[in-house]
Amino acid sequence: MQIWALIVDGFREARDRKLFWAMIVISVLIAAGMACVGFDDRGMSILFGVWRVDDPAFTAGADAARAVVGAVLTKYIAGLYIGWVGIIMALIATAGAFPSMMERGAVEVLLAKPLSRPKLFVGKYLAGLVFVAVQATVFVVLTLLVVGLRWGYWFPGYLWSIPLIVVLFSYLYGFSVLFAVLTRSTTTALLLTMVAWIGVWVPQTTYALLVSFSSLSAPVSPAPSGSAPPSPWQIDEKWVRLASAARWVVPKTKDIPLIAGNLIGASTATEVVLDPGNPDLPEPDRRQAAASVEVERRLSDISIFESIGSSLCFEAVVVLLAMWKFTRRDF
Amino acid sequence: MVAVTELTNLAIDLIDVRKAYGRTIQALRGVNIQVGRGEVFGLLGPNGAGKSTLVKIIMTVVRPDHALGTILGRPLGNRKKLAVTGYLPEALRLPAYLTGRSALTHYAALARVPRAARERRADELLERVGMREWGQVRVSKYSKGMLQRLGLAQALMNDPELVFLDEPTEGLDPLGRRQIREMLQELRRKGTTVFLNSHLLSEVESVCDRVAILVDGMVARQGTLSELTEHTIEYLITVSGELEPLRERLESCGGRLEGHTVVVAGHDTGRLNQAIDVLRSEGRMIESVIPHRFSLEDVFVEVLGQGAGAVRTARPASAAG
Repeated sequence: MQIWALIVDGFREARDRKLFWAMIVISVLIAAGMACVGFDDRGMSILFGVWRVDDPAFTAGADAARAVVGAVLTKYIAGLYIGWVGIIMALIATAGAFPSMMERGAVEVLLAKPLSRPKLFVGKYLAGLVFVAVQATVFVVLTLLVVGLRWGYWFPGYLWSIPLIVVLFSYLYGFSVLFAVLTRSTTTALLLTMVAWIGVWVPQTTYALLVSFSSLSAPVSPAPSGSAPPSPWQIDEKWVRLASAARWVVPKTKDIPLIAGNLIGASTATEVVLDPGNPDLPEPDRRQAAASVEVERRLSDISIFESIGSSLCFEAVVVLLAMWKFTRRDF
Repeated sequence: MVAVTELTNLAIDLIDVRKAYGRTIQALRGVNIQVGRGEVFGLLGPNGAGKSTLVKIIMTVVRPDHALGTILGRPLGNRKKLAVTGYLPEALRLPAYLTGRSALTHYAALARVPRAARERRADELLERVGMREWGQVRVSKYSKGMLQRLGLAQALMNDPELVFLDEPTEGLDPLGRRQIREMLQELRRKGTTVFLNSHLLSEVESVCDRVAILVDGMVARQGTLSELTEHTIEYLITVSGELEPLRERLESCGGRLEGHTVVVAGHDTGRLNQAIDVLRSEGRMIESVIPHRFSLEDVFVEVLGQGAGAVRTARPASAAG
């Protein structure tokens, strides 16, 4: 009863913020914008026929159209909005929850209830996750319905984006809560969370760059007499392994859009754009395209259990630290 | 460690409560306070004396460096007893996004009040604190006095056996203060123990059964109002005519001159009669002899003066001069 009361109260608090409704409006606008695009037996229409792209590749049901749709979902929806914009807005919307709870005159009333401090902390923490779950559900369901009803393509795997968004948010929300408990300041907590996000982004990006260089620096054309010319960008595998180890420790925020893309089951954006199977491409370009696709596949080949499991372990340490600090603090 | 027993008739039994913030601020330096069940107990003290810290320790908001004792028969810090305890903190902040009614039911849920009882209690208490018409209005629209009333209602939502009120009349108009005093009287009649922190001595005098005065983190005085003031009695003898020539004789029998008034301190009526004899023997006309008992304010000022190191008899603030 008490945890539920805290979750309901936390949701009410978040709902009272204008940002909550702004996020709902943005979700609706994105869905509406997507709904302005349609596919028929001639090709693709934009803004309900104001512009048209009449091409057999973009007729309703065509593989190319499906690939474009899938690429939009993975690259722009999952990758950009969910992975960046939506998360930032969610962090801003929830950053004030703990500082406002710990304000003088407010925290005393809560701590004087027959409610342990860990329970109070957990209830407030879960309230933030519930807020994001609601926002994610609205966004994903709306866009899924547009893609299905308007574009004619159904990606049931796209629904996995809802829990994945919550998981991604939780990676950073743990930092937000920790800094909020330490500083009791919304602004400071938010800024430090962004710094922490950059901090976990660096090893991930370093690993991705090293993998890319390692794969792309392999010789493009076979050298005569079997000796491959050395590439100036050749990366020693030990650096790749080191970067992988560093990346393994931190919350893997960059994995979530990739996992979402895998679960959606759509082609990668690189495959669609570069199309290594295109016979019209010159041979070196086709090999380069194949290498790029291979890099993207290698980076997308993620063990969900390992990626999310290890990230949640890190997050658990952060959240437990925040809880411990909150429990030990005098108010 | 004091033996814990449910049979104790003390609602609060605090022994040697100590709390320091950092290395320089000794907020509480060994406080001992006992409050009987059903009492209205007042805690007085200047700013920074440690009053709010003491209440926060009892309510588990702050952890003491050292403390022994019981609250409603259970060791200090027992969270289960908080289910039958209410608390109105100083400078209360309520969630601005809630209505008054939903704030009450929310805190009642945290206090484990059953759902059906929450709605009923909310209606009753809103009526009782004069906020019935404001129950569906958001807290952000409330005045300071309204917030205080709602805060008091919040403290009573779980029908507590023991309630702590830290400056409950802050921000209230005179009518509101009277309503609070009436509520305190009502709580006393119900048998609820009330622990009241207040700067308003008149308020404490009018409602409290027992009082403690906290100075620099220690209890300087504790007892009923009668016990605190009984030693502080003096007689004011108003006289017509010049008194200066009689100064030496009057001072020898324990009197002191203040204009046309001779002040004889203490219970000893023998000294009073000596002073009267001196005056009458010199032909002075005695206009009045008024016994004056110190008020709580007088005691408070005296204690503060002693706490500051100066030993003096506090001049009654209300003396006719």
